[in-house]
Amino acid sequence: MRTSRGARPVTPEIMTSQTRAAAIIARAFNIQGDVPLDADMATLPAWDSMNHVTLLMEIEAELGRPLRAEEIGGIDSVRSIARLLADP
Amino acid sequence: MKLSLKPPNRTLMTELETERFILRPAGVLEILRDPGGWRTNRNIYRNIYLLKGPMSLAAWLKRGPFPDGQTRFTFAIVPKGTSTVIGYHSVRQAGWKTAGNAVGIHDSAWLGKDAAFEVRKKLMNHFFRHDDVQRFTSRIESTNHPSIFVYRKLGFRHSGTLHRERADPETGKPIDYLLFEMLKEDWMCGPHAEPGL
Repeated sequence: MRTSRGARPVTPEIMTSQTRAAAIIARAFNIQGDVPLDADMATLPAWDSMNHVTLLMEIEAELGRPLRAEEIGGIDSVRSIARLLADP
Repeated sequence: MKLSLKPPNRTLMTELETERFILRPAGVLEILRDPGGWRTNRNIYRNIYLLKGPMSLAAWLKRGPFPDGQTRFTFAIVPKGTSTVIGYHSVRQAGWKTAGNAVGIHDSAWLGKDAAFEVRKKLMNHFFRHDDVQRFTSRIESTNHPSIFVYRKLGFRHSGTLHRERADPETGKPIDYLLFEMLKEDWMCGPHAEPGL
């Protein structure tokens, strides 16, 4: 189900995926402690261009497949990664 | 390289300052001399120009970031307190009130330090303010993750994908391209617009 603007509503599955997404970011950026579930590129100082590459590799490892171009272009937050994990 | 006999646009070709850098307008002769060694820098010719080997002079003349002062502008990126150029950022007008960005950082010590983000933010504010640009667009290889990062962090919208647009010059594997765009009204509502824009 999608909203009229194309974004999917937040479901329980996505909530679980958000926790996984936050953990992936923490691992990729070597962050000790929790990453906020509303974190994104603008709010996480450790999210720089080099760490972004590491993050994409971590997501691919989690999904067990290469990311598609459209997916790569949309990754900018915990939520965007969670949507990928919820709908792999 | 195309030369223009018209006088250069001095409003756009002005020195700019960011938190860490001076952006100095570069001329044709500077780019011709290639002081950053782009023609032979693998990171540059491989990742920006998608070439297998160093660029010939002819290829450089055709594809290098030569400014014309009218529709193409190139700025040398100089860390404050130094005279060292670490890279160049170009803005090229193409299409209706549209401009595109391109950047190359040849000083490897500055890679991964958000130099492109900081410089591009300043230049977009400059061109939105002083030129009739209504939209910035870009077309990026899906394998160029650092560049995609910069566009996303600046708030560009992923507006489309060109599948199998080109092939990797070494492996022959097809490469998809991502299209990004930023409309002026969206930039003005975002966190990176300068006051009074």
